[in-house]
Amino acid sequence: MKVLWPNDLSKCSEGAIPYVRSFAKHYDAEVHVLYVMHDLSKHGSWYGEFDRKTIEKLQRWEEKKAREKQEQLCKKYFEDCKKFEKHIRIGDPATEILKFIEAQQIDAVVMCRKGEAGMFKMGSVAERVVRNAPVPVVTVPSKNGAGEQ
Amino acid sequence: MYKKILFPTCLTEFCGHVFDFALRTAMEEKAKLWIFYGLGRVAFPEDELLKEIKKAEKRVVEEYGERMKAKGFRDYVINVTDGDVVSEIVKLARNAAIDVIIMGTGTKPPIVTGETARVAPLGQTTAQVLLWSPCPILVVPPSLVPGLAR
Repeated sequence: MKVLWPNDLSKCSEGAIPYVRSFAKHYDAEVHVLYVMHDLSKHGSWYGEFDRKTIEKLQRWEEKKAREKQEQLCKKYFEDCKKFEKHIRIGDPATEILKFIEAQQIDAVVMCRKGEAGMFKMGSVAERVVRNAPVPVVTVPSKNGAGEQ
Repeated sequence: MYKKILFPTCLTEFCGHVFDFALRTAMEEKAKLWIFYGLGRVAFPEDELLKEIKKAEKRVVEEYGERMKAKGFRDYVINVTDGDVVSEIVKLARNAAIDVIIMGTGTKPPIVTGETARVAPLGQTTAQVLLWSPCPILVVPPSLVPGLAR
């Protein structure tokens, strides 16, 4: 069994970790940790034209930071899991998560209901994944979620 | 992993498939299964309301009782109430300290026409419960329904 934990490396998304761990333990599942970076090169030149090199530099910096953070999280929470893999993708988060589910033949997705930028009760990425995923999706309410007040 | 599972139903055919998933999960997890059916906002006098609740309970037993009996599953509770369905589901999840709610994406049978075809948007109840639920929700996609598998 393969369990996917898509996250934006925020505190909110860490709320799903206990559920991912229990999935891994109970079903002896492989854990796939996925972080999707925004593709900065696709952004319009709202504030004037950016130098291509600057964008690439920013992207590399983000990737490096994301790898470090993923490494920390996996070491802290998934060290005792049978198998875990870390993945980083670039693009639209929901689209990339859905593509990843198909490509890796994921069996279940566990994700937090809203991400870091969550000023709404449900994040747009979680919503699009729930609507379109071909596998069961467990959405975990964030600690400060409306449902827990 | 999950000790208390809530399965809200509207007794449609698609809900039946989701029920099979919920039942299997409950049996695997050795969990207690709450089956919830909401009458919605109705304005019946009290005695008539009680009759309606009894009738609905009977329908739920007819629909799912045999399947549970066939699999030797006895650890379940049937809960039928009136009132706003979403509020009642959320209330029950909170009061019974439910570990996970298992729901389908919607109640109408989905139409899948090809590999890349996506199914109709989330049903109103699922979308609202996703927002307000105090516990995790497991949404079962139509692609897990026999005949619609990927």
